Amino acid sequence: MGLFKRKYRNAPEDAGLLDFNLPFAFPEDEDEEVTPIGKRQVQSTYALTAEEVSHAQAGDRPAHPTGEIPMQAEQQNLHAAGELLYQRMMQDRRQTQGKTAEAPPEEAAETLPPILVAPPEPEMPEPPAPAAQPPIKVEPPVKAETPAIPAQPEPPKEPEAPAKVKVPQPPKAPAKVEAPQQPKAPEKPEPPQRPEPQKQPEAPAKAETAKQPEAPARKSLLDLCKPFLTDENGRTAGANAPDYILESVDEIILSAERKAAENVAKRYGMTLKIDPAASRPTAPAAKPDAPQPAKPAAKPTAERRQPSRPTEAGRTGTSLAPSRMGSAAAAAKRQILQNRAQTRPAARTPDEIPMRRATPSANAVREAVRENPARDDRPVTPKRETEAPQTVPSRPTPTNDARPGDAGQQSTRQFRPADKADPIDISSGKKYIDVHAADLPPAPEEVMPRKSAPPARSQAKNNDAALPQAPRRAPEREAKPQPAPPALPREFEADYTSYADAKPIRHTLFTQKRRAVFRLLPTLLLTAAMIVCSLPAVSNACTGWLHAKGVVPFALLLLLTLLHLDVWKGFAALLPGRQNADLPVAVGLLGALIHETSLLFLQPENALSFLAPAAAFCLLCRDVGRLMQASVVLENFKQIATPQEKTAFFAIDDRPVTYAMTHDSIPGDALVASGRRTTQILDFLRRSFAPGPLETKNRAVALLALIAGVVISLLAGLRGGIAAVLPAFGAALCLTAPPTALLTGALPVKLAADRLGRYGAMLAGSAAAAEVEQVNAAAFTVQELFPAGSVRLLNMKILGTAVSDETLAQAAAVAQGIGSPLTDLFLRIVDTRADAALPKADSVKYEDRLGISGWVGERRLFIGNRTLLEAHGIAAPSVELDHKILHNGCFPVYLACDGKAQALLIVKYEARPDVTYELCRLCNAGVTVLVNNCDPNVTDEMICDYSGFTPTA
Amino acid sequence: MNSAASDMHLQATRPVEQLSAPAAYQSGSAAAPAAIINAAIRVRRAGAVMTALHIVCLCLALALYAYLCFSGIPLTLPMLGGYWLVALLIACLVPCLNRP
Repeated sequence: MGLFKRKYRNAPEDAGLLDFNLPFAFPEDEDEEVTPIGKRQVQSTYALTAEEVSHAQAGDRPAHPTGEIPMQAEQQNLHAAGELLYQRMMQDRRQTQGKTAEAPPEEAAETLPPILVAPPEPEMPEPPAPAAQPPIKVEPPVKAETPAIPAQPEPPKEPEAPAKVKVPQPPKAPAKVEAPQQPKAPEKPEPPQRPEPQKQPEAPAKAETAKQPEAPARKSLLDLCKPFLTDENGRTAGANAPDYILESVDEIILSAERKAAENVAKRYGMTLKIDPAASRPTAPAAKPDAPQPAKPAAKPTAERRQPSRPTEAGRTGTSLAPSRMGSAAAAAKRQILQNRAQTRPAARTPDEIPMRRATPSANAVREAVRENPARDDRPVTPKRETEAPQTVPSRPTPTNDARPGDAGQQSTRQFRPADKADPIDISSGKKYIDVHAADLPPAPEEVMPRKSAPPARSQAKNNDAALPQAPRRAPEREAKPQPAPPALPREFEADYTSYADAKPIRHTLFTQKRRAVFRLLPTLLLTAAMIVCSLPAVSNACTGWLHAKGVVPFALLLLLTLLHLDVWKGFAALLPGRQNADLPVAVGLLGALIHETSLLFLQPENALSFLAPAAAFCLLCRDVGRLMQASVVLENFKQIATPQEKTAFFAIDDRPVTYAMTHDSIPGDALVASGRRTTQILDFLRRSFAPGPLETKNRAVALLALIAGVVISLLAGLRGGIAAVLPAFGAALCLTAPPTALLTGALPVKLAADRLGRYGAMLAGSAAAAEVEQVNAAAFTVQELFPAGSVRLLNMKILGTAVSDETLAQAAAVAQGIGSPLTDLFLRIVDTRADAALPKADSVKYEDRLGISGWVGERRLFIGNRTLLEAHGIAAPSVELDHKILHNGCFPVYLACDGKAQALLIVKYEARPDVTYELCRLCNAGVTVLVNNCDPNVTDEMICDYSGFTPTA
Repeated sequence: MNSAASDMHLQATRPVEQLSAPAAYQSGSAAAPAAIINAAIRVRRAGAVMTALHIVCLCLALALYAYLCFSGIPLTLPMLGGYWLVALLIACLVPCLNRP
């Protein structure tokens, strides 16, 4: 039973039920007419005598306590009667309250027979004498007698019990008679599917009492006011009379929402549209196949929205008893109610609820995962919040007007429509949408939210189901498109896809490495020779034309150039879309050749060559880099080109998955690195030969070198004449090719490969490092943290009689089925006691912080701590034993089967130094460690204690 | 991780026939994947530092050479060798100091 209030409306189509027509008009302004009256749930019927009505018509009426109410001119006399009625009602209410405080309501009901309102009579009755008219006492409804108002999803029942207006009847003052010409309305049985409230058992008896034929007929208020309800044109005022309906809490809220929306619309000059269905997300649509109450007169949806509507029998739920209503009046009223119920729009199903439209913005993207306002055409599936982690409630989102940094203006901008011509749907309800990471629109970088975004947080506070802050992607990852896969070197026909391709690829890689070695050796010798020849001491010792012409260094340089003809392919990187690591070397070699040639022919007297050994050294570093790369790729390929299963390490970019994995552990966006067992690694060669970090900037560097060379050559020409131009230009080009450009990509990868090779891991080049480097979380299994050999068995205490080799083998199977760190422990025990194969375990599951349970055949085994046994009703030894074991730095592991604890294993976990070292480095780098745990002994504190880093709050 | 995340993680770690991945390992210990991430971070960091140093040194060298040409001082082999030696040391020291 909810809270109801009275509401007066002028619009008949908005009124759910004309319970009874009060003979006075109500203000037309709908906003001002809402008058809550508390928790009253029953309406009352009042009656006036004809004298009172005529007295009111004469103008002798008391002042209205609430002031003048605007009304229509043709209803002024009606208003006079209404005001008098209102005064009488208030007076009676006060009297009744005082009387109720003195006597129980039941006693008052017995002493005061009720007066029921009858259908309008055609002729006016004789008004009784004013002196003989007793004061009308209105008995407030007893709350205990009020039937329960049906809940929203249920079919409507009789919402209110008929209010009993009990008037102390003098012997000559008849309370009420039926119209003699109208047949008595038969007692209509209640519909069987809609149970009638069990209350008011005295009502029919009292009604019979009120129908005593000898009692003088007394006109009801409706009858007395009927002349005033008809205007000059014969049109009754009942059609336009104010309605008096009951509203549920939802309607009250909806009314408040509508009022607030209108205020917003007036303030900002826009059009708002209220979505009433969205404010009732908990009211599901009635299913066609669901058992529906037999209610042919009204639609179920309309009934649900108006619980106080008339039933099939035409009952109003107030004071009009069906037995007292005239058949014609009842039929007419039923017809009216049916028409209203039919004209009322049917409630929409959740699928029919329109989606709110909002302009996508940065805050909308930051709202996480939950909203996709830019995709109106996507199917929207209402779901519960707990169904899936990717299903989240949508909330009002700001428009494009919201900019980062306008935190103080977000509250007003977020309701400003992007296009004033389009209405805005406002809803206070939550709608659940499924968001897929791939469907999210990329957030423009310029509108990405700043670190603290007040709008999203304020919206989250306003929402009851405010989720934690949604994961936020790094701007560079959102804005930048995925780069095209690097081209495969020409030496390889195709990338490695299967183990059958391993042999030719390995041969090619080995050939490449061998070629690099063979090229490195002569380069090393020639470079050393040139450096020696270019030294001042050696050059001064040389005499003759060799020194004057500088022939020797120049000849050696030419020889090196012939050995490295493929270097000139580096100039292809100047073309757009092409990348080549040899561009700096090519530029430097070109500069050296220009410099040496110009000196040889233009300044033979000053032909001291010093750029030739520099270019040779540059080629030497290039060969070293090539050799490093070939060696790294070959070693990495040897690790992956195996038929055995291996673990591919990659970054999980699926937002729902990463959000579920890093729930509350990472404040922002999460890119989780995780391993996955696989047989073959794809795209290995493409990643391995991808350009390094500096290679992507080679073109810009080369252009800078060319421009600088031109400028410098002009300066040199101004100073030394035309003969100094070309040497200066060549020297400027050669300066742009230091060895750093050649070792930038190769040297760090080589050092990393050497280290990873000791762990049996590989990292496919600089591009792969760029992929893995972006992760901010890494997921490990607890078996990876404590691999085989990390758990030692210190002691085993037999608790039951079922401990045997078979039981231990079954325990090993259960532990192996879920990947527990205890697997190796059990396997070692089984290997020492029995040599049988492990049985097959199924339904193995890990109960959080308890342990493992699984079935092996018809036997269920439990491996865990004491709490696991207690949770399954298995008796465990004394808890002091556990305390003693824990105090010694060990952990108790219970093995139970057949409903009894069979063994207690005292184990000790030993963290491997390499694991601890790498995890500490990982945490120091800012990467969050996620552990997929299946061991109750391994907790956050335990891992942090063993590894030496602090847990995440 | 909670149970749902654990299921997702297990589902994500289900063996597959082929997978495109930037890194791989064969050992069953957490040291290998942790070392991969550490190496990737340091490779990336070293590459970025070396690239920045290279560009800075390049610009300084060109500016110095422009000054020498404008001043009439010829560029000699010791000058060029000294510049390259400094660049080479930087190139080698950066990854060695930030060892993967």
